[in-house]
Amino acid sequence: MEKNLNTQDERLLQLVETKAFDALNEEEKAFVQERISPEEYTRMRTVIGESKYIYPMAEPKPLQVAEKKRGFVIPLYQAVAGIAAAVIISFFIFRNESVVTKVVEKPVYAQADTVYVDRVTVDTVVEYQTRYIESTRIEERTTPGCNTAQFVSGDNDVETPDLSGFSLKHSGQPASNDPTIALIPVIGL
Amino acid sequence: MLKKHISSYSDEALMKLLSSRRSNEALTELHARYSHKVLGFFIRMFQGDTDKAQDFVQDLFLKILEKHYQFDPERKFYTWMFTIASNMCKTSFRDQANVRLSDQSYEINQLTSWNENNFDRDSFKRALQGAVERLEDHHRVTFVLRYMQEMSVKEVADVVGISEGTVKSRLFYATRKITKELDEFNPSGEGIQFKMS
Repeated sequence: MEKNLNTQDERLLQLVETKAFDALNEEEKAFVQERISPEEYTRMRTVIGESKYIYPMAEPKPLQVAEKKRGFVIPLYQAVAGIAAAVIISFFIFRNESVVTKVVEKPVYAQADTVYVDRVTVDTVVEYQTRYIESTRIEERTTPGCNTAQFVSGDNDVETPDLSGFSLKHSGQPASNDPTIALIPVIGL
Repeated sequence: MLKKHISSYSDEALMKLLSSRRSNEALTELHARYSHKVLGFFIRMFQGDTDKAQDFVQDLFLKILEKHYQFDPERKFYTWMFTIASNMCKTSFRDQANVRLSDQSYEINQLTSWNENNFDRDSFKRALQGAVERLEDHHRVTFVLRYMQEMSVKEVADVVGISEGTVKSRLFYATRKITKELDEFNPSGEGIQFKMS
């Protein structure tokens, strides 16, 4: 580790840097001469003063800085013009394009193992025959409130219910709550 | 709103511009301000090799552009730039055999004394050049920054990264060593006037 100057040497250096020997006061001259001769003092000052001139100086060359590569950058107006041009060109190129359809006159049959035929041939023959009813048989039905025998017995004295008291207006009730449902023999409840 | 001219920007403001679109403009302005001083530094550090010094100046400003984000705004740009320059020199010295030009023979033919009428300055300068080049690198860079680049002790300490006391110590040692090598020169008076800051 370098040692710092002692205060004496520091003062000597400060005097050498600032004053010629002849410019020193008596105390300073005495101080200097305790350490170095006046000739050495003057030589030190000459070394310091002349050192600036030991090399010839030159003019610096102009600074050369490479242009920064900032990537592909184009002005905004050029970008907008390019996009507009691309849109216009693509409009003219693709405007007349249309889907071409070809009408096929002949039906195309797919080759498959499933055959579709217009007329289905079946082996079931439906023969309509005229039949006459020889007799009928009445069977008691379980429909509540429905006695069909009175209607098919041939007896003309069938008591018909009095419908005058019935309100035929729809009441919003289910049919099972409607007493007139009994008049309809085919409905089983 | 008038655009501020680039020449009115401070060094630190120009450093901020290096990260903007005006980076080339800012760098060119910094080059205009400091290329002379930096070239002088490199010439002195490379023992008068002007071509090498010119190349190092170009490299230095490219480094400033590349590493501008490392700049501490609390620091002065001037000393930060010289820190980079000083480090470039150190790297160069380390990487190559340091063939000191002063090793080539030169002769001090006679004991030269001068006064205002007979100042053999050229001989003294040649001898002084050799003596400076024979300094160790860390002494030489301190001597060059202080007495040739005329920086203050504080600035030299900031550039080299040492204390002010160490700067003074190195300066004293370097100056005494050179002076001893030139003791055959015995000036009877000072042929030049100079002022130290």
